[in-house]
Amino acid sequence: MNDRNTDTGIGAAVLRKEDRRFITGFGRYTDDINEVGQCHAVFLRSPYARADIGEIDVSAPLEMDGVIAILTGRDMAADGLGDLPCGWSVKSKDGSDMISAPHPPLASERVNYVGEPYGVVLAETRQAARDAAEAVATDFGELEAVVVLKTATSSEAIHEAVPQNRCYLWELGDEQATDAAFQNAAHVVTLELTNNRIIPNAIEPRAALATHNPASDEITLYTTSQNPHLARLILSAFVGLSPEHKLRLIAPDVGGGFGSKIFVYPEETTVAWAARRIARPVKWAADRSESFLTDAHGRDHLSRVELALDADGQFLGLRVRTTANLGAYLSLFAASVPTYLYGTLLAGQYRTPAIHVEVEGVYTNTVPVDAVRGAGRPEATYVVERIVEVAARQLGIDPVELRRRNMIQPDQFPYQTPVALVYDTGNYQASLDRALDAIDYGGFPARRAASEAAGKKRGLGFACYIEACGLAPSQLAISLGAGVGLYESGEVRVNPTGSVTVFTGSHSHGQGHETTFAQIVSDRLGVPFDDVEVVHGDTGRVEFGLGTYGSRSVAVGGSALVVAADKVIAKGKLIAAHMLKADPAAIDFESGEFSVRDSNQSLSFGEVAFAAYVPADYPEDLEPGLSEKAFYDPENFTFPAGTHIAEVEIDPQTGVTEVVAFVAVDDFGEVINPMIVEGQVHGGIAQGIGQALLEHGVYDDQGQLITGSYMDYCMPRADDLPDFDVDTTITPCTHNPLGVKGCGEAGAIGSPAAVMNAITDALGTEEITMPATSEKVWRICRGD
Amino acid sequence: MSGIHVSTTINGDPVEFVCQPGETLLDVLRDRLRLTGSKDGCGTGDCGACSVTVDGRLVCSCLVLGAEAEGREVTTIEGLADGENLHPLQSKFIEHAALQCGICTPGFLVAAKALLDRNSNPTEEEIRFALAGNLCRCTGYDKIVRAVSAAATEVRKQEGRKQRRSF
Amino acid sequence: MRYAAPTTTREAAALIAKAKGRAFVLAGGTDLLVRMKIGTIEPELVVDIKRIPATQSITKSATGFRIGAGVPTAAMGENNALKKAWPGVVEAANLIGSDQIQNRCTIVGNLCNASPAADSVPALIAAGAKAAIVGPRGRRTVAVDKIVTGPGTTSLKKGEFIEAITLPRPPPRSGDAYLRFIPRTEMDIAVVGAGVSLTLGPNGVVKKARVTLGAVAPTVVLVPAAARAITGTRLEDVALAKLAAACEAACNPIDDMRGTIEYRTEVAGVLARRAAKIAYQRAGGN
Repeated sequence: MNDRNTDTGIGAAVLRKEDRRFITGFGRYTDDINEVGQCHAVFLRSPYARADIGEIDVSAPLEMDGVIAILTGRDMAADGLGDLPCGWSVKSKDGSDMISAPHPPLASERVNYVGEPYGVVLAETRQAARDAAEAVATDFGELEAVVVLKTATSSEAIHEAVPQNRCYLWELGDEQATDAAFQNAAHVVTLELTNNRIIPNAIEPRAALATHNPASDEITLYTTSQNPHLARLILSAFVGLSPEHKLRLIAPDVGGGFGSKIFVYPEETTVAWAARRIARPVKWAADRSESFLTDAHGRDHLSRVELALDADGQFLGLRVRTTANLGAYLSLFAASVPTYLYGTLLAGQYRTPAIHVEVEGVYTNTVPVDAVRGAGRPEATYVVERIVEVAARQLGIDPVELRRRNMIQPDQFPYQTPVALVYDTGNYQASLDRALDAIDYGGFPARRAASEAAGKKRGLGFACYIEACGLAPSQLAISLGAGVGLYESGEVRVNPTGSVTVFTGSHSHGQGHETTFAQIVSDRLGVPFDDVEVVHGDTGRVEFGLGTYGSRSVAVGGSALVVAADKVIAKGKLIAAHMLKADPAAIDFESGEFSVRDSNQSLSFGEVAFAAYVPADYPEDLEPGLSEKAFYDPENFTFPAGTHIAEVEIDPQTGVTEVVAFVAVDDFGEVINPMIVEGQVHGGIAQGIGQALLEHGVYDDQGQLITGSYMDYCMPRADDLPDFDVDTTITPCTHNPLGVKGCGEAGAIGSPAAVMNAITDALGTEEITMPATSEKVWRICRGD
Repeated sequence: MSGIHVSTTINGDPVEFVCQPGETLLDVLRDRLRLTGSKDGCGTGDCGACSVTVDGRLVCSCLVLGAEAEGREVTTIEGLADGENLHPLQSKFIEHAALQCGICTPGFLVAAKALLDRNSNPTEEEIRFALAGNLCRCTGYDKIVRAVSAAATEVRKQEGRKQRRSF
Repeated sequence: MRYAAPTTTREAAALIAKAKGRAFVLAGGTDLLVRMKIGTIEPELVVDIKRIPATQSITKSATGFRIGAGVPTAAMGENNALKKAWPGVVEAANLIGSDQIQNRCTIVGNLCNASPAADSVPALIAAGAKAAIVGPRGRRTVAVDKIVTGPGTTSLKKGEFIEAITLPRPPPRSGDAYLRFIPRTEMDIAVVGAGVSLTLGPNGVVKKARVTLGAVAPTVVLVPAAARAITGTRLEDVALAKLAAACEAACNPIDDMRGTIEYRTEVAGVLARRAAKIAYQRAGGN
């Protein structure tokens, strides 16, 4: 503990720089910011899941006190604003393009989910705007809604252009080889799985504050974004709000994202448009019910899974058929989540030689479904790790043993899977072994017996997951349908006095970039940790960026900073060589010192920085200044992996299920700040346990969200969760300069499968879906 | 609509404000007094991000009317530190990395302070129950519970020192 | 909307009686402000009764306890005499929501909100609690089980409000208990609640009992058949089985997301048995 503050380099558990402002109440989130003359926006939202918008009568509310304007989707369309795009294009197995339904920021003719905005009221106070919104009289022609995923393709088409509500029917893998594997199988294990719909629930609701400067014609938009540059690009290039150089997006402190703040939403877009239109700063902050209704939801898959095994329990083939709910429109990443971020992960940690997956992406009259922490990978892990556990039970093989027999061996890397990916490195046995020790696997039968003696049931469940992070490389991603590159930008700006300002295109909303990235740069440049400041989240200060999602920040954004820092060192060497009258090739740089090899001559980093900006004695052929940029485009994904084990105890009289122990051993490659990494894992596990036991986004058959508040949507609280026992093993990533892989999603990826495997182990049946509520568990205990 | 004039004490300082009858204490703190440390996470008393104490009792400021603050003593997150000196809870939250995005943190700190004020030696279970009114989506609560436990130890030490001095 | 904070009961009653539109009493506000926020009510007048001294205290007398309408349930948990006399009532009151909620919410509010799932109400009815009502025509006292008439409705007349709840002094060898079941451990609405209050004879046999159930019918139900099932017994297994059966028979719950009819019904029996055992132990039975 004591050496924490003295050692601030890579690998040190440095205390977070950003925390002081948060613990004193001086964090600055979007809703904490106010502009002089601001007015408040409240949205007009559809009360129906599907309806034609008729006449919108705003005459009475326009007369109300404090009301400035009421704008509708028709006004927006008249202004020529474009649709919100989906950033990935996916092809169906027959080669046709996916069918993307037009998604205007404000609906003008038809609404397609409850809560969809079709107008906005602007007023002096939020209360006045609310009152006026209630007074707007809109004629809706209600239409039959398509709500049930299972029958959506046989229901009436929601969008004219999308027959059978099918956006795409995508496939990956070798269908013939997989069929052949099943023909030769000694055992075939089949499982129907539901991956329940979840609602992200960042504790900070989305918010936006826009100002238009008539002198410069620049719009400044403060907003709760994980990726302000990407949002600016979309608002400019696709929506046509404003040219990119006249649009500044600032994502200040952001109170959690978990994927939900990646996307460009109608409200933020509308606020920016309205600010220019009414020539007033406009502020909007969602209330919690709006968050439930309109933040993109996650998961919502139905799958049929089949695993073929030989007589020895070797996996021969895996066949997966999944129906994925996309909601009413394609959100920004929606098309990729159940396809490239899902199907490619179905090899898991195993040598399954033949895999074929088919995914049907389907529209329904529900809020769009998009990436939520893990995004496709928790769904893939759930499929693989549930069927493996069931196979072990059906074949009477210890679940650990069955996994060991099929795991990719450490000497088999790089490993080409049958579903497109090449795993660069890993040691799955190492994390499994460590996790078994931590849970005391050998002691489980005694613990189970003790529970049974007390009238309880006990179960143990595993998940050996694989994850693909740091989405990359750009050329591959674009060839697969990505609309943008997947690099990251970084800038290391050395100030004349030797302190360093670091600019990253990655954004921090809890991940601790201000600390982790300062550690990386301080370590590389030998500059004191406290002399490094990290700037992020402002398109006016940071050149470009793709933002934070998919556990990519350190692997891609951190690597960009290493490259930029190395450029700074290279330039510093030229300056130092000149000052020391030495050959640049003879200059070494270490721990913040430029020195001439085999001599006692040296210059400090600060001296060189000063010379760069006060070039009294300076090389003739070198530009002054010491500031370097890099765009880092990775060679491959990174592949974190690990083993999660859950142990549960059940009270059969009430069905109450307690997670009594949870072990996670993850391989994230090199770790920059173990304390931050541990926290990331904890948070992910909590979300995964929440999904497995408590959380469920439910629409009724009319398309009304019936889990639209914290009383109806069960979030895990402090007394619902155990202590977590987390540890890491390390196989460094082979293709980035830090050897890092990413850690943000692993917890949420492994834990649902581990918990459900534990519950089904305790209950002795597979017939239970997430969330495993007390009543569902009770019914099974009663023998229903 | 005529406003209501309210005289109250916030973080030890006398404060006067005028608010509308239906305005919550949270709205008054954030929008009128610009004390934005208390956060608006749900408006229905379920998330605890707006936690403050009123006359020493922990409450959700979204479920208190501004007018009710008349003559009361309100303490917010901005009043937790003593000038530059952090409260042990604040120090331990940093040392244990008990926060990530920070949005729920003020509420947790205020709630944890209320717990330690009535019980400076809580068990882990007592901490988990006392903080069950606060939602955190980032940390999984583990590090928060550890930080509160460590702060309790620190608070007891400080109390011990104070008592020894008074003998 | 207007806000008033009168300092006497009489003043409060007059304000409510004279209100032009809908008037609401504000005590803890944990239900009222939520309903205002989500727009289910739009009060013309809110009368904050916490400046009235009579609503602010718990007093103990020869006949029992008087709990003012403005006393937060957390304060009930801090009152040792009350906890000792009526541990089940205090437990029930301290199951309502989080610490933040318990520092504001009141048992009168819990009662007048008239939710079938209100946690404190089964325990209050089992304990034989009464409500002291004030109104434009003066005062009256009514048994708590006569207050709620259906989900969201009460027998209070226009202008009336409850100033305090009174609990009798428990006879010797008495005990009470309340258990509830929710889909999680904290912070949700009960799917079943069971309250039991009983008094033993000198031989350890149950002399008198009251059994109540919450969240299994439109209002909290008093189940005399369940009380009869254990009266004259020492809670032998046969008696407990009859108690559970009587409770299940008294259930008329709804089917919803939180719990189906079957689940609520069966768990009601389980909880009543468990609560009866706790109450029996508290009364000194073995």
